[in-house]
Amino acid sequence: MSVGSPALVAYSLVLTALNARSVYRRAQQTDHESKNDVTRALISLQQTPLELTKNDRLLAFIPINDQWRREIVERLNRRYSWTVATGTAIAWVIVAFVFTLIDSFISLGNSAEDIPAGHAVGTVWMWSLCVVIGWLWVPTFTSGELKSAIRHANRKAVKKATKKIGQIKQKANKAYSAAMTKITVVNRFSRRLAVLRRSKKNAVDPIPGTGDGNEEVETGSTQVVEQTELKTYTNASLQEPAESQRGHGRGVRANQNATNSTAGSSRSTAIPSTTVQSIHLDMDRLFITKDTYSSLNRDELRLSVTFNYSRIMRYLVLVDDVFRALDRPVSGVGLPRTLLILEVVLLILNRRDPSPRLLLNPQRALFFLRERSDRCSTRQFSPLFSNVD
Amino acid sequence: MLNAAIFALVLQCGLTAAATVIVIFTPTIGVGCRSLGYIIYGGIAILILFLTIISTILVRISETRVGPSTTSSIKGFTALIAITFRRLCLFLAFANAMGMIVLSCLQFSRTLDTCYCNSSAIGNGINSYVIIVFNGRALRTYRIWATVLAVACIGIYVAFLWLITALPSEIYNL
Repeated sequence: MSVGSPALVAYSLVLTALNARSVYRRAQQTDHESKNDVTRALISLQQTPLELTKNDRLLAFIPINDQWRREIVERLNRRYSWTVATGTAIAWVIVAFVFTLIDSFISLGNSAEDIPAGHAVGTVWMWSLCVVIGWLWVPTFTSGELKSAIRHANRKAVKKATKKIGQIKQKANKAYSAAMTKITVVNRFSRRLAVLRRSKKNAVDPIPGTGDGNEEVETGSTQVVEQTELKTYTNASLQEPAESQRGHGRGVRANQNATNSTAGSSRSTAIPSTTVQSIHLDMDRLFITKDTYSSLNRDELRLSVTFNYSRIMRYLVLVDDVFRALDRPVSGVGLPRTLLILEVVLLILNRRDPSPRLLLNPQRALFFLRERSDRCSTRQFSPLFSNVD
Repeated sequence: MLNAAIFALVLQCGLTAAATVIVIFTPTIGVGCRSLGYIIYGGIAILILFLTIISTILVRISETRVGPSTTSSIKGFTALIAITFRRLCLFLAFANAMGMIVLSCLQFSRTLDTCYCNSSAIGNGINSYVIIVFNGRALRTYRIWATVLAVACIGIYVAFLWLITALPSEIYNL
């Protein structure tokens, strides 16, 4: 491809350099603490198909993103510089070309036999010199380098994430046991209350009560009343541990994750400890996004500098989104400032998740996040305590 | 995008034009096998560049356009064009690369040193002739200018690259 159209390679190289420049310029407008990291990562990952993730699980562990990004930057943040080898090679090319020119001009006067081939052919092939110099200046990587760097970063991030999850689990277990003691107290209390109420009802009046809707239920009302009161009580009492966890950062989101994973089954399974254990890290799904790549944009999956031209549109939108997210974090409930940093995905490595395409729309992403944070705030511990009898 | 395209064009056009000028103004003056080969090569390279740019834009259009069902046909149409362009470009690039390599080899191996090619019969037609003895003084200016053009284009491109990559210095210092 590059031999076929040197113009395309030249175009891609200039685009890459211009992109780096625009990312840098965009980063100057923000004053986020990790803007340099983000800039470096964005610049050095131009050769990969990038996407902002909207994966629930991924967003649940934002600090992983930081870790991941740091790893990536460490591995990929270097430019080729002029070494003796490259300098000599380029100097050789230039010297050879100069000799060709000299030969062409000398043979001009005294030979009539043939057009000296070297001059014209050499001129036509001189684009390769420019391209090589461009490769030295613009940060470019081979696909092997990229893959290994991303694999490394994934491994590191997963390791760190599992550690974090262990901490979260411990915290959740502690909160759970603390809440359980309270619940048993309430349980006894409410049972007594219900008995009392029933006796009162039987004694005084069969007409339903005024304020509470729960009293309308006649038979088996004990259980219902018990449950509802218990629920309200747990909600009230759980504010405290929830708040403390929110202060620590990811606790809330981890629990929300548990909500997602066990929302369907929480009604039937009664043992909350399993719920806590189900905050697991699904390694396979960690760095996968939507399968947006069809035959329409297959060029974007090619990890060569030559194909940077095909990624430009998506890349520019992504850069804008990332920095906008850095600028204006969602003012939701308990979400830290480093929300929705970039999640960069090498789809070649793990393309196993075919799901419908989500367009890169910042408003939709923000809406999504807000919705998520709402869920966080309302149903923090619901899977843990909804069915404690 | 525009800047990048312009500088890519400068590089490609400059080099191809220089090579073509060198060959054309070598007697006999006119479009011959070699110069036609260069012209085709440069032309196809530029065509590939334009087609890919158009294809990129069309891909973006067909990806981001979300609307009622009336636009779905447009979306499908743009997608179809984009895919066609992409495949066409790949094919053209392959053919072009092969052609250029073959042309260079032929030129160096003097296979093109035939009566037909030396007389620039493609351009001159019936009036073509072969030079037996010639005095090449007058050619020098053309060659010098062509070389200057090529070197200038390379210089412009490399200088531009150097300028735009030089800026973010603290980004690269960990």
